[in-house]
Amino acid sequence: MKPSAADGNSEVSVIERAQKGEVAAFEELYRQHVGRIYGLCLRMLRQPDRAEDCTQQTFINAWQSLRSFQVRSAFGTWLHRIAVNVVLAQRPHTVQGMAPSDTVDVEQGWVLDTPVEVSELEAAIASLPAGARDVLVLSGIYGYSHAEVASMLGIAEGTCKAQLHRARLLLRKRLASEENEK
Amino acid sequence: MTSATTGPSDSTGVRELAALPQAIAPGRDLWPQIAAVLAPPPNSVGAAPQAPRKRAAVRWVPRLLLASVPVLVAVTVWIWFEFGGSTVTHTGERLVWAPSGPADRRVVSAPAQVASLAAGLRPEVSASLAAIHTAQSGIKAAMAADGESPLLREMLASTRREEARVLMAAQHADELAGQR
Repeated sequence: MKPSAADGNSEVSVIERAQKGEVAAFEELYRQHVGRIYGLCLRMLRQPDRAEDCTQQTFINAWQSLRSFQVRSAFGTWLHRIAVNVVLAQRPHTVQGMAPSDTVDVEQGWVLDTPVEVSELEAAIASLPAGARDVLVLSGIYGYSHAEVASMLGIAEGTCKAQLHRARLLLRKRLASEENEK
Repeated sequence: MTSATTGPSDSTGVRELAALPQAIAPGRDLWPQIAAVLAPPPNSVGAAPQAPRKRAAVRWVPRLLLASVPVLVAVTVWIWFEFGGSTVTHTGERLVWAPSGPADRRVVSAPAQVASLAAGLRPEVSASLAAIHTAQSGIKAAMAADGESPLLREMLASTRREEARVLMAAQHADELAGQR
């Protein structure tokens, strides 16, 4: 998913225009990144409505602090950090890994228009406890390192590794049980 | 993004994670609502983000305060030199301003004014001024030991005001005597 050098240069110029207050340039950035931001929010929150709200808030926050963004950094990663903060702020304050959503059933309405296997995998991820799910999504799907995930979520790197281990065990169990049911 | 958790060697059944699509399209276009929040006020130029503007304003406030300090000091010093502890002395046809601030500058001396008075007034005025000067000498002697004492400073200023009052009263009496 890495952009080419030409794409990177193009994005830099768009970012610079947006930093000067050009809304049209910021819309271009929005169009380019909204899918990944919404995907992250949806996987972390499991509720489309809340994911949409968080996506909007992410871009609003990004606009407000756009001047502080250093163009040397990856814009997508910067946006992801903002999105994670917005999502975490939405959740009630709980002990990490023991969020109330651990006991809440996955919303039934979330069905992806994807092949069955992918859909099952998404459903299995969605059924994970919040803390483990956050780490698995950021690390497994979006490819962030333990250090990056720990930094984004505000947890220790050791906790991040433990949560990932837990998530993978739970995910395997759920996928295995689904396989047995077939 | 430096490392993926799963990979080809992962036989745990979750290696498909990395193959999941990172982007998911939202069910509706979210931009119009975002744009409504970002839209600049009608009278502003451009649509510059607001938060940095606030920060810029906050950054300038201490500088403005700092820049105003020399101005305030200059104005305070000027006021002190111009009006602080000054006395107004009537010398016949015109008012003579005789500042007695830090510089202790005197435009018109008391003996010269006493000498210009009618002969009948001089003894009484001289006696009053002598008493005042004695008090001033005592206060100045005390100030030699404690020059920073605000009480002594105020007492000295008070004697100077009294001296001016006596001279003005004498001048006034002299004028009245002259009219008769």
